[in-house]
Amino acid sequence: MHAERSAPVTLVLVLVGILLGGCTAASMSSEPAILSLSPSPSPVQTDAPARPSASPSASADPAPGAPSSVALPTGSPQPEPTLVPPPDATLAVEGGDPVVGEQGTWSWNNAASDAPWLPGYPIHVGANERLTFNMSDRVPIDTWQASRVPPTAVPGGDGVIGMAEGTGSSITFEAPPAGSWSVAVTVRFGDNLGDAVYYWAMTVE
Amino acid sequence: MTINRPIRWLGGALAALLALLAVASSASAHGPDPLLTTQRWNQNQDVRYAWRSGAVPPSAYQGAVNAAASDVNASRGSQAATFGYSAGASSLIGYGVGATCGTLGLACAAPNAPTSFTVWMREQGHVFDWGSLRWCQAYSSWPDGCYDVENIILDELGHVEMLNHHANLSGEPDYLDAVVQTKSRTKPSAGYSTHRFGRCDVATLQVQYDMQSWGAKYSTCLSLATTLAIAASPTAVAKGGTTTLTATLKVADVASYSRLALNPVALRTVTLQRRPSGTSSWTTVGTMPRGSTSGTYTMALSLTARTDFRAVFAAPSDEGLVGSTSPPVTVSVGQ
Repeated sequence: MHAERSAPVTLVLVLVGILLGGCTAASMSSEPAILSLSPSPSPVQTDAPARPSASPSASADPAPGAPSSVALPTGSPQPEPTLVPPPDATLAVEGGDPVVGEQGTWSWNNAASDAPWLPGYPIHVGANERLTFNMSDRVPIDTWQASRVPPTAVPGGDGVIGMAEGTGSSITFEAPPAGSWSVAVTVRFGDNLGDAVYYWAMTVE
Repeated sequence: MTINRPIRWLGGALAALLALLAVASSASAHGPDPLLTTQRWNQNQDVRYAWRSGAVPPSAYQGAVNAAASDVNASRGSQAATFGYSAGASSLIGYGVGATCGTLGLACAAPNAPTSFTVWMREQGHVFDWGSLRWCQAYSSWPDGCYDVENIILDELGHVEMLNHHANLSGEPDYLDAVVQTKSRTKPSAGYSTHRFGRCDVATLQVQYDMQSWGAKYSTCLSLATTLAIAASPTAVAKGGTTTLTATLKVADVASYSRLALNPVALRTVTLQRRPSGTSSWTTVGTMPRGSTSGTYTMALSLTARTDFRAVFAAPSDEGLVGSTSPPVTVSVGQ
């Protein structure tokens, strides 16, 4: 049913994707056939607000049990404020500058945002060095866990290797073996405030 | 009686220890999912959602979202809220560039129980620092590296129910115990297309929303202490007379069990044991048939001598209940 999408529309989508260069060469070259994306405007990121969909295809294939007249959007998108994430966190070696982590999945303030395993922000450390994790705000931490995957496992997250875990806000652990890793530190905040995962692209020399 | 005192004391201490262990278990790394919020929906509340105006998911995704709602309803294992699509509903599911998920979120949820919720999912092709987002349902043949809309929305609806991310063991060998996870997975990673709540998702839903019936199985992610009592009626019979033993099995009264505390536990196997009063070895009489009220088990016996009875509930391997043994009851026999 969805494969009936017209060829010209698909062609336009592919061309837009290529022109904007948002996709990696690998992902574009092996991209399987895309089905109907209506009413999404295009498979590329844009800062423009989502266009209201007027595509009849949205109602031509209604959700199971849904009246056919309700799938069509009406009016402009309703802008909403972005959910507020937890504070940032840093990782540092002794005597080194702290490096802010890339925030992945989190829950905070009665909301949650879900992300895959992220590559993380670059940090260079020496083998066996002690790493110290700190929240940029004084958020209490109940439990924490450090783990890693090789960069090739991002964002799939297969083959997770546990590194260290503990309780409390004083978080230190040893750098992984020499090589390149995506290191994740998952923290569960105290006072039922939520949780967060922070990532670093760690080069261990 | 003096023989029974230490046994009773030990039994009480054991029950208290088991309850403490169960509480500790629920707070440790591998236990029921933590809570995102303390705001619950009503039990079995039928929560309806609609597509967000101007941000309607493509039709291929609408079906997957609705399938995720059905997954919740089929796998909640509790009286948690159910979800379904209805035009004009106040809870909204949106798709596209207006997503409020922060910089790196694939999808996000903001529950406001018991009134409404919002869920957002990013648009196909959204460029992250790890690559472009690919929803599996956008393709006629799902490519490696795609995210299954149904699985991701099931995760979000878990948040809507009030679940927070599962606390995995180090190295995440228990990833499949929960759908509500800290790292979303892509095809073909294990669990990327799971379409039912995991046992540790269900565990929290059971604690927060209660069981669907007294005979339903408790999630194996729980470790609930039980209490077993036994009574005899009458407690004194003539030689050859008959007494009826009634055992009552319940979930222990522990605060952290929330709605599960003191639940009758029905349709389980409770065994009756006996011994001549004044001796120490127990003999199994048999399995007690279910009684007239939920969580009770009864058996009638004819006696010729003073006898002690106790009931035994062996820990089942397929659910999260801890076994228990009742204190004994004595039936005296006259001439």
